[in-house]
Amino acid sequence: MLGATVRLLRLRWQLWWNTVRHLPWTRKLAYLVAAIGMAGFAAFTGALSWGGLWLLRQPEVAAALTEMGVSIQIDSLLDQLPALFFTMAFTLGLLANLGTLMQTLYLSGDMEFLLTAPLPPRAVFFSKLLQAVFPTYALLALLTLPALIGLGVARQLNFLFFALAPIFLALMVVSGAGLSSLLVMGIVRLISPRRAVEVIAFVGGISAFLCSQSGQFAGEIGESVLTPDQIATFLDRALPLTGVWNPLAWPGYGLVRLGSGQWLPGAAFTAGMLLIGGAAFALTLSAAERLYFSGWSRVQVGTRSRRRRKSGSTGERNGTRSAIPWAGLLPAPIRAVVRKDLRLFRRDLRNLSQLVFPIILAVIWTFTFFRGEDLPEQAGPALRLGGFGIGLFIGYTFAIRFGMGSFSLEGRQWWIIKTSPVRGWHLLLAKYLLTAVPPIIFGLLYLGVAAFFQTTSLGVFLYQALTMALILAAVSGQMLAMGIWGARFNWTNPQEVQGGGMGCLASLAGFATLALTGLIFGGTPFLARLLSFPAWTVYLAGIGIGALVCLLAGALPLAIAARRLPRLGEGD
Amino acid sequence: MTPLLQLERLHKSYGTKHAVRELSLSLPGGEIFGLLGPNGAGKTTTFKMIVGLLEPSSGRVLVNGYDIQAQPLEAKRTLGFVPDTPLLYEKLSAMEFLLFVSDLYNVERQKASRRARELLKIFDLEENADDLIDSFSHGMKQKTALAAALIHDPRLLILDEPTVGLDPKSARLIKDILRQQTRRGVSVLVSTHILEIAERMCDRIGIISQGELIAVGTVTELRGAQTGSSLEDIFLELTGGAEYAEIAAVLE
Repeated sequence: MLGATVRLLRLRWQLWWNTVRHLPWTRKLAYLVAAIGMAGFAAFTGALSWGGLWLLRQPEVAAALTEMGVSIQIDSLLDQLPALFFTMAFTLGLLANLGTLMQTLYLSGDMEFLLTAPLPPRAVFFSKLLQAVFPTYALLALLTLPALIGLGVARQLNFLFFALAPIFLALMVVSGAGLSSLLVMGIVRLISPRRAVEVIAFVGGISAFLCSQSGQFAGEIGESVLTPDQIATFLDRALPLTGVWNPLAWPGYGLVRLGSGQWLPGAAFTAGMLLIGGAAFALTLSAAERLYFSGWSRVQVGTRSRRRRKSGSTGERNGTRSAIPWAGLLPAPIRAVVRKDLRLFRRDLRNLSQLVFPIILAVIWTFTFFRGEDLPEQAGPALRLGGFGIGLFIGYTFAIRFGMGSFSLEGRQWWIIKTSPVRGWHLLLAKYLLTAVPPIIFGLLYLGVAAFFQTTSLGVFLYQALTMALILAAVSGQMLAMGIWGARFNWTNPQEVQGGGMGCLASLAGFATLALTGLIFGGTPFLARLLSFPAWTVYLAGIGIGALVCLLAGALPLAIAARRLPRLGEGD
Repeated sequence: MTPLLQLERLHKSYGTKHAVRELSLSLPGGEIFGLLGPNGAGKTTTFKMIVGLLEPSSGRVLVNGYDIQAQPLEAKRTLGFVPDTPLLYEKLSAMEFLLFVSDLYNVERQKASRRARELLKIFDLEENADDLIDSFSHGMKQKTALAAALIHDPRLLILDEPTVGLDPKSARLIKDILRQQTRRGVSVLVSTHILEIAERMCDRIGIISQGELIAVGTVTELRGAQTGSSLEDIFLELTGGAEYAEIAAVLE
């Protein structure tokens, strides 16, 4: 079995290497820079860990901490930290691999091919498992190994600690993944693998984003994230997890004891870990294998919702009565494209996750910005501009997403529209509506709510609403134009539709438009005060000039890009 | 009478590689024309140029008298196309997809709903009308694509390998539907690798090799011109595949 596993892993390596070899040199360079950055990060973490732990072990620091009311037994803490790391590694191996395992076991498309080859099935499963856990292991190793090495240096542990740390980490991740494979099969029993991957990516993405923002958010609502009390509370809650009763903590104990020359307890903990971990892994692997072969994990049971029609199918009902009252005025092909795109967008959770991020950011910024107590009395205009700015940010982010993905969203199904008798301007109008309407609605909605809470005057609100709608309409036109220029119909993940150089160019063009129109619309009230003309004439002139600039900024790129429409997708 | 499809010296080249060479063909109404050729012969490229997915390097495609490049809307209105791989919007249900396509062709809503229901029933997809296409098998997707191609009552059907991946019952159903369509004056241009289907289903057959249409006629006409007795023999003779048959014989 080992030989077959090695052969399969060698195949994976070859596939990866061939992919890397054929990348454009710019991408290779980017990967190299990223690799150097990661190495630097690892070195920094190692140094920080070593320095921090060395500092904590100084008697003066310990005394200072005791004075502050934090009683930490530093050597005991250092003993328990590896155990905590390994417990976390197992948990991450269990949860973080759900998506990758789903992909490798069900969506990679080569499972049947490999299982019909004269290879032991267990080798196929094992190699698939290793393939799936590798990214998680690499990430965990990057985050935890430098910290463990720093700890080992600070505690002057022997070479066994350093040599075994990466091996133990790998064992924990693989054990977690073994259990994860069973979970994956249970999930697939309930929903289709493709849908499961979408849900996992959505939940994972939102969780990761919330975690990444929580530090900033916590810093805003509290005085400081790391008060001595908080550290003590964290340790009080986390360290009991590393009790001897917890087999997940054994590799940590074994490692520290072997590293400090306590051979007997070290060997006992390590043997215990290998015994329980190995047995659990073998059990889960064979169970997963059996469930796969028996077909249990490939047949979904009665949870699939079948929408039964009452007086006509959903498609028919939605088709005859549109949600938009004035939609009937639009030609049928425009309505059809709008309705279809909204459905496709809504039904793929990966699309929605991209819209949730700006909303979460907006909530955090709103909380930060409008927490009145730090703001002086005269902050009124700044507050009003803050509401406008955040509303514009939401609309701008939506415009980028909808505009850049407008045509790419068609994907490999582009032939359906291309072979149909749809007029170019019908298609363009449909895509423009999809790009511009959601950003304007969400931007104005936010502005309205902000204006309500800030008691903004009606005049200011109307001026801001009009200028925001004009700016977002212009930016939407630009983004749609970029979406036509950079259309890629061969994506597999919606996040790919706005990548590459065109995405960068779109951001630059968008920022330039925001700056220029912001200058015109923002400068108008100041000019109204400075000039001797009646204020309404200055406002009117400002809005007129701004609207003209918006029209040019939005329509011109769109008109140029529209010429590409008849030949769009012919190179793919 | 204007032919429903006319190809005039259709040519497509990619740099120095000629995918289709000076291909000329005319299809009157009510005929099933089979385009046969080995892999990479230029069948799919020809089809893509006919339906407007690809711009020809030179030559013209006239659909119902309209140039597909100069008057695309008029030409496409009479066309129905099924590609070799049924790539459909996976997150739409079959009914939603059919209604979407009918809107693209400006089919009146009531008529579209009725026709969609009929087509789904004919193709044995009635029970799955409200299921998302991503839960469909290859054959079901193929049948959905064919239903979509028929929803606007086209006068010319272009079908690239329509029977691939279908069970015998569905393949038979498609053959019957195509035959019934031709009785109503619809023309069908179909490519297939299954020579038996071509022999039984097509009124005329064209054999394409290395981008060139090397033979056109009824099976009887082709038989008369060549020494082979079956369509397979004629095909292998014309496309240079006969040598493979000899190799296969040696291997036996």
